[in-house]
Amino acid sequence: MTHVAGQATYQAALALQQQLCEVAATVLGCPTTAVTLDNGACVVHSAPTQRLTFAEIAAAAAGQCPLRAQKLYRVSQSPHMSPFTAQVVEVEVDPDTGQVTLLDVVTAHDVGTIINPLGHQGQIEGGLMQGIGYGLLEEMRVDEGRIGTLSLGEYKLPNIKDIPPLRTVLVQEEVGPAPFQGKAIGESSITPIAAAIANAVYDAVGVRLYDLPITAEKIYQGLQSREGKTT
Amino acid sequence: MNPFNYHTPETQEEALTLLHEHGDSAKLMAGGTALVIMMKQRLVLPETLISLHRLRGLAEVQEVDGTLHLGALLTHRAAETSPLLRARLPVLAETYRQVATVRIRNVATVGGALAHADPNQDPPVTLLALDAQVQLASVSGSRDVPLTDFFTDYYETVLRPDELLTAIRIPLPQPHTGSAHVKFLPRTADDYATVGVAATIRLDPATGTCQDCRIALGSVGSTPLRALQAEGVVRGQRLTPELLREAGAVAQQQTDPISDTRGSADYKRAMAGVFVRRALEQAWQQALAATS
Amino acid sequence: MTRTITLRVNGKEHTVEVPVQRLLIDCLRYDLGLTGTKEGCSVGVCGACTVLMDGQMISSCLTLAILADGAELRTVEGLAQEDGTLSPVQQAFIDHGGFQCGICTPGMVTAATALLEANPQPTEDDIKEWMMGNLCRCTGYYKIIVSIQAAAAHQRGEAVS
Repeated sequence: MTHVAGQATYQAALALQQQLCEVAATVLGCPTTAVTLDNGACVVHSAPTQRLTFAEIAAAAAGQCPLRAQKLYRVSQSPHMSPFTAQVVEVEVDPDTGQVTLLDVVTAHDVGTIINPLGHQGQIEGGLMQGIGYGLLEEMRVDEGRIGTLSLGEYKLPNIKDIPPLRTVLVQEEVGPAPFQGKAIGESSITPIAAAIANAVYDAVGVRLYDLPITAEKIYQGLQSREGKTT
Repeated sequence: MNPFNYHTPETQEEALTLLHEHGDSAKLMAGGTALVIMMKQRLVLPETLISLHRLRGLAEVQEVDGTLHLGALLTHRAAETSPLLRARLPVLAETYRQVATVRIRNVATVGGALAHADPNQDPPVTLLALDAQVQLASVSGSRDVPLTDFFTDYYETVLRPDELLTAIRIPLPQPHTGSAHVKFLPRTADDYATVGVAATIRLDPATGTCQDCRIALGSVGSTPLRALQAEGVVRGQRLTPELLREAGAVAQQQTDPISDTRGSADYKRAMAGVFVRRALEQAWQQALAATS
Repeated sequence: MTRTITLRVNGKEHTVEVPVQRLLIDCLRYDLGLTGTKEGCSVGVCGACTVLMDGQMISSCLTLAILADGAELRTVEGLAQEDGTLSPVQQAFIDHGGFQCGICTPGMVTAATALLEANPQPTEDDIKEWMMGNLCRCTGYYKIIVSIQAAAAHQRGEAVS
């Protein structure tokens, strides 16, 4: 979204900026190159009192040419630059019940220019909890074509008590395919977390799970099989 | 939801008269959290709804002659925060705190929850372990029913159509008694228990043997239940970790859980054994602390 | 079958005739036009329908409107001041990233408002216990905790970092 929609918007904005400056230059009687944007207006760079607001420019252009720009952006246009994510999870498994507790989570992201730091971190945290939801809690039950989990009373989403201690590490380099050398972040934290938890569970108790959600019962069954017991 | 005739009695007598009049075709509403869901889902279609929210005097916590009385219309939130309940029966106050979320506990009542009789609930488990009784009133009078005799099946109790549950009575624990309630939540903090266990142990201070005990389980049958055989394993014995493990194994045999989103029947049965042992261990530690 | 009820909502009295089976959330949204409160799950779990009735937070999706006859209600629309100045809780949620898509936000800020009225100095555990009935998909909750702590500090007159 940041990359593709961002680039399309950015390039369309550049094109529109050009149109605005051209119209302003015509009205102000100067070359287009002498005009710059300043706070909702076009000004002559060397003589800033010569100024036209966007509204005035639009009025001037009315009836002659619409001030409009449309740009199409294809990801294939940009050099291939994927954002990378690494996550570490520390878990504790109760050997009597199989219950997993997330003791500590670190999520590390390779990022470009961050345009909105609060929003950027919000995406990381929200994605992480969505990933924990689908990794540990969420299961849509279907029995002979009938859905068994009919409400949030049965299909459980993580709540505020379920959140693990979280540290974010941002490995930042001002390089990226999105506008202003940014990189996408929205899909990064959700992707590896379930696998990280599964790997941590294997490290803790030697039970390897390949299907989600990672439930206490599945780990318990795994532990029982390891000990040669089956229920 | 279907429409219904609506009554808001102001006294217990009025409520009982209305119940007597309408019997089977009426439903009582206290907090309404369980009832409204069932009405929305058309599982329950009452012709008449009797709301109890105007009744006064049925929401008290009182200590009378070594017994704690909880008025049926006491909310879970009022129970969990009641200074008297926290002081005299902290295990019960803590159990009420485990139910759902603050928003639900603000309106759900202790009596309404018992009448709803969902075997996955938490308070009945602790109440069973504490030898609670309920008072049922009708226009013909009132009767006391031990909680062990109250639940008959999923969502079914001995309540007659014209009866109102008015109070819960719990004898205060005897000296040298420890009690514990454990709610096993493997998924998320807001859920019904996969297994719930409450246990009490009364020690003989001279010998350290268990003079008496109670073990109650929830979420493992069509009603919450007392594990009587498991109690027999512990009663009169010197307590050891092995004995408690054995009690857990015996308790498991008494369970008849169903598979659902909180666990398969096999898993719940296995966990019943684990958590009976853990609840007994905690109750034992508490009894030792009360004895020293 | 209908009943005429009187609700005092955000300080203003409303008299409405409603079918007996009308839920409070539907009465607020459709009869009174207060669409700030949302219905998320219909079973009282998600908290999007949270309103304050006589000072306590309740699930308006599980409450009959007729039960609220004579009650004092506060919804998200009543949190800001008359002149539009946002409450400290609302402002904190903006300043500290406490919301993203906004669907859980009316319930969140209403619940948080009730929390700080009941407990002006909540610990992180107090916040989690109180707010566990309000689900959010977007934020992961971390910044909701920060927002509530900031609002609490602001209300106590402390500097906010």
